[in-house]
Amino acid sequence: MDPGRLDVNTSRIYNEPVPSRLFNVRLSPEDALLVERLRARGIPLAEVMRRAVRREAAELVDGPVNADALIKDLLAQFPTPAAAPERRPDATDRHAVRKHIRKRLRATR
Amino acid sequence: MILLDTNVLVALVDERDRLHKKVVRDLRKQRGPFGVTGVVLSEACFLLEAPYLRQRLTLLLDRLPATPVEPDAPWWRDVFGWLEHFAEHTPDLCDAQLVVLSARLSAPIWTYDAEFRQVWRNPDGKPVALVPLRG
Repeated sequence: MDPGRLDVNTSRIYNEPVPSRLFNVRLSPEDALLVERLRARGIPLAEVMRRAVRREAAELVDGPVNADALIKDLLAQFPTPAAAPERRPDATDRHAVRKHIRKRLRATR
Repeated sequence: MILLDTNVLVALVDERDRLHKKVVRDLRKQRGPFGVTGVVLSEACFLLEAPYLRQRLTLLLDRLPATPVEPDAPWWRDVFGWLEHFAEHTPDLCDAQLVVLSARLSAPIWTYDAEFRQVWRNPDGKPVALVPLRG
């Protein structure tokens, strides 16, 4: 047997070099009970998951940004070093930015 | 989609930027999706040379999230035509691409550069669509 293969019926899901589309989700006993209730009503978990994923993704892209949490994370994960680099030109001053870029380009040549 | 200008990215990732507090306040009111051009990122990299600032920029783009956008090819005729039209004001490629993209996609630009309000116009002569910002 090819050692790269798995001896299971679902081998194509697990051992092919493609992004996985099968996910295991651990549920709390309470959530598992809810799933059983949904199933009893003929609502498959897979469809519930798909709808929830689509809704969350749409909110992530189209919803308001949690600005304070985002900036807090940026500063916490990558703090300003004690020897922070010198100040750069005002980014709204196109002429100053252009001068800065020219200077940097000259310095690298 | 909201098109992000360089000064917005720089002010968001650098807490020492004079616009940092304002840009964070403004970000609270924005709803995505956000788009960013390669030229804007190139300009941002010139202004954010320190590794920690580029790491913050990467995380910011992931978390907004921002989508890479470019005008449909061939874009250079419209973009360079716009640059030629405003040649007396010596505009740069970054602004030209943003204005052309904004007009094509009907997408407002988020910027603190006053020239977008006062000088630049769409290729059809109409005012450039901008994200409304207070103060």
